[in-house]
Amino acid sequence: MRKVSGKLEINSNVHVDPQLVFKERKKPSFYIGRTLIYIILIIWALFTFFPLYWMFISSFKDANASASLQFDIIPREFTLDSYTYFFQFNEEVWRWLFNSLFISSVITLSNVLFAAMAGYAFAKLRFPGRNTIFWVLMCAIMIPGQVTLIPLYVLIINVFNMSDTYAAIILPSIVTVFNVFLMKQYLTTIPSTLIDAARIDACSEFGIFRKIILPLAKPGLAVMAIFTFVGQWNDFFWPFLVTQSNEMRTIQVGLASFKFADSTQFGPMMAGSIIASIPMIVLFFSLQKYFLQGITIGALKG
Amino acid sequence: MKVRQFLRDFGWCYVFIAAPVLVFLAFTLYPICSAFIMSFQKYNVLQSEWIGFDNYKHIFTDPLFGKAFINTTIFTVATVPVNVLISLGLALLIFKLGKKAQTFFKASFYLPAVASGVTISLVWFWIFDPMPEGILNQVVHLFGINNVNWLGKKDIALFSIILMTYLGGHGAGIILYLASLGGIPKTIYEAASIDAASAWSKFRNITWPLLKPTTLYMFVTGIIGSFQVFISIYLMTGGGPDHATTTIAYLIYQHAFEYFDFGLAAAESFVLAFIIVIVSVLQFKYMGSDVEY
Amino acid sequence: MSTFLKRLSLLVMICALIFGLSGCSGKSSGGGKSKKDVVTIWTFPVEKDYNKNFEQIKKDFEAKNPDIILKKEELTWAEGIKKFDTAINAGNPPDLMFVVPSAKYVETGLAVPIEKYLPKGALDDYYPSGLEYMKVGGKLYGLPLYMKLHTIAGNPKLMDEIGLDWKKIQETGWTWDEFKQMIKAGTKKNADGKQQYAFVFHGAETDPTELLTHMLLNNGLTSDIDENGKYTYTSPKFLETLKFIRSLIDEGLMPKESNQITPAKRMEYFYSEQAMIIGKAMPYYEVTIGDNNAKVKSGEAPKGQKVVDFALLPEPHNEGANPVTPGGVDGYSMFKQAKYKGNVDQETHLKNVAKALVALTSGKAGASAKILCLPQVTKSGDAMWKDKYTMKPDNKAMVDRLFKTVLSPTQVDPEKSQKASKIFAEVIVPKYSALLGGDITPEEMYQAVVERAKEDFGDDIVPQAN
Repeated sequence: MRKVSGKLEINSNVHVDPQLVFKERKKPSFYIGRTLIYIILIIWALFTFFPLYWMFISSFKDANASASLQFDIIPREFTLDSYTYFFQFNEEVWRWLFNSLFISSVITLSNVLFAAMAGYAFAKLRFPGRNTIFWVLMCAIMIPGQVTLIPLYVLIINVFNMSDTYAAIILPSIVTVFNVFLMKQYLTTIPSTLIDAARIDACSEFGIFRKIILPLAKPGLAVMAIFTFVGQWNDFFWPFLVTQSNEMRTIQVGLASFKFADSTQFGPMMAGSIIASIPMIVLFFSLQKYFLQGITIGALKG
Repeated sequence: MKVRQFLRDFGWCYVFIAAPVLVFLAFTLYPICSAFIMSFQKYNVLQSEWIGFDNYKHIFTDPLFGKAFINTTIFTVATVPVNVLISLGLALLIFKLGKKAQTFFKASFYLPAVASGVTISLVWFWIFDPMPEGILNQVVHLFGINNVNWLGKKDIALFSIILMTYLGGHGAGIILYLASLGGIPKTIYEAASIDAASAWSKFRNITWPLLKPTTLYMFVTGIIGSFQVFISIYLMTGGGPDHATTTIAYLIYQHAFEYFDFGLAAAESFVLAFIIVIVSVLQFKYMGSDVEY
Repeated sequence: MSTFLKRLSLLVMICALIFGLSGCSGKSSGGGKSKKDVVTIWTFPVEKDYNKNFEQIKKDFEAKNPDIILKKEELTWAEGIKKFDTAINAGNPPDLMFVVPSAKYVETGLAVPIEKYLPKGALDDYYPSGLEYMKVGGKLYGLPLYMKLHTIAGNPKLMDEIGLDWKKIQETGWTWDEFKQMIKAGTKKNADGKQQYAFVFHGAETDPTELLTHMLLNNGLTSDIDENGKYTYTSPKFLETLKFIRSLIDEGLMPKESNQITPAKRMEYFYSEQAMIIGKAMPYYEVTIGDNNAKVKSGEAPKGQKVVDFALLPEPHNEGANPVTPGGVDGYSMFKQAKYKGNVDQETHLKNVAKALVALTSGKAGASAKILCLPQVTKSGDAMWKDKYTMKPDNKAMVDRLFKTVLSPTQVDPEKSQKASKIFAEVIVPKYSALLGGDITPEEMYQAVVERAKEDFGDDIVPQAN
């Protein structure tokens, strides 16, 4: 374990411009370089954002519009037709949205809690079997899911008899190894000295977890929360597989039913997708302030 | 007595890891064991036939599996390191900006993850459209190059799929790196500045080591993902032309769902998993040293 | 995170688990009633009104058969088949599934040959050609809902421009050489200065090898395994067909990027008058194209698209071969579960399923065929719906004409059929894409097929050279 101390070795061959250290005048080439970089950044960001924009303008088209590769950047058509069509399409549309919201929220909360606990244990606690158990869990995500799908289906539907329930969708994803791995990596950088100090202060294990680890882990937890929520919300095949009745569908499965044999009702599908993406966007913006919390830990010593 | 002492010392630890372990025992162990047994059988839902190592023998003598393996390896090597570095680079650039600019960039790069898969594949078909209207074709036209049949030519198809990963999908990595960057106390940088360290030196000695755990995560999950790449192939090229873009995961899908040869698919899955495990173990050895601040 | 928040989320979690585990589910309240036999049906959104049509049939059926309940689940086209594949391999298929039986389903052992469960005389209502498509290895596993017709279609205005007498072709058909000759002038710059192609056939996304299979049918290769059980694609006619398709590109009649033209792209080219003849085309396109024309007129379609007319054309056949319309059916197949559990004994249950099967494919069910502009499969369907078709008369006349040259499939041993399918998926499909893209020659592709056929079939193949 290496500790990065507050003092750095300086290679005397490196020319250190004292002006840089004091952050004052910069050469003009610096600004040109930076501007160029940011122009590229903006173009790239807009390019990545494009599919969302296209979804957005497509949702304001007529309900019978087909997906066209030819389109106008500034749309010539604007109607709320597709939105009304979407909400009237099936009596369960609101239920679908609720199902997705409920399932994704439960899974996100449970992952945040349990993955943080497990990640902390694997990162900082020492106990027999720690590495073995971790690797056995990791193996679970290294096996492609196409083939394990059948036995898992048999397990859920036949053995546990959970067909068409929330449990069938939620339980296998209560806590994923990806999230445990993520938290383990995120929490490794927290100095053990802090934890040892807390132990000396006779703090319980769970207390340490609650009072020290969790606050420090907020950015990681926020990231994990948004990733898990989005991943679960967008999941199509598993919820499709284990539900049968109309009431239990998630919104993704519901959106897929706008595709008919020879045509797709693209407008309503896009309108529905936009509506469906609102919770994710809301969650993103409310969590994103956690992504960048600078931390000053005064008691650090090298 | 020993048991009680054991529980007192380590009880909490096991409580902390109880959830994922239970989920594993309940929902993962049985399917994996089942699939493992399947790999030695010719699967049939009513009556599977035991055929020993035949499936595995078939894999190692099948030239198609060899081609898929090469395609998958090329894809992994070309995409994972580059994309991790792109995510890191973009995150470093964004990190320096003011709050509002940061939010704008974070949203633009990540929010497209909420877009429906249907939209995304339509947009990509439009980008790779081989006719003159295609977006990429319009771009290369500016450089005087004629229409390219991006996904339809043996030699270019795999490259196009790789290009797809370069152009998008970095949002998650950027967010992750930003969160990790935010977790590095500013005091360390300040101390380094006092010692007159250059920007590169700061990066090399502070940022990069403290980001190693995140980088390891990105690499390991990236490699797991790229070795299992399936969806984009399935949607865009169907493995062609002439198997130029067939990956191992695509073969597994074909054998499983097109022929119902689950035994062979299971064997292929385990061979693939074995490769992934080896690569991951190596990565942990190379990048896994714990660094604390 | 404050203690309060933590405790709250823990509480939510526990509640959620209890909530979820206690089976707060969608299990319909009617399912627990004793004694009624439940028939599970998985279906797709076959046409826009299918839900309504289905409910109507269900009501009538349950009124006539008070001890049977029909339970429907509507799958989505996206991954619906994959869900069925998963279910059947887990031993839990539904009783009726909207799918055509194939060798791989029969090999699971869960497909049910229906003839001994059908009510007496039920089969007489069905036209034999439709029934043949629901057979595998000579046994009937389901009933058809409508017949599918695939062909090509052209834009009358563009065809008139180059003097193509399409009305005559509709009646007499055309050979491969005539086809190439007559459409040649169709590749040019159109009135807007854009590149127009004589013939645009999709080669990507769904069914990329359709042009190949259509042309093979029209060159005497009507089945991959013939009546003698021999694999036929090793015949020199196969090479001939490959050369013909390749020549369409080489002579500029088809775009050289054909292996990446999606169905959507093909339609767009049709709408913007950049394609004179498109394939594949179905009678229902009259409706889709009509819808698009309406949008062009109201200004909502992307600019560049025009109001276009639509005329069905027969596919060209090789000199000396019979013209064949590629056909097929869609319908329901019957399955049984690995571990049957139900309210009645299995024999009765299977008979009930068969009854439901008949109700879902005859009489009122013919509404679907009418909406899709496709031929009826039952006499009762014809009686009810023959006069209700809303197609243009000449297209309807074309549909009837095309229907006459649909061939019944050759009945083949399922195991051989599986082997042939494997060659198709592993050799023909990938190489065809490369052939279209110009990466391999027809001879190379033919060689690859022959080699693989020799490996898999040994001597059971049609000889290569005469």
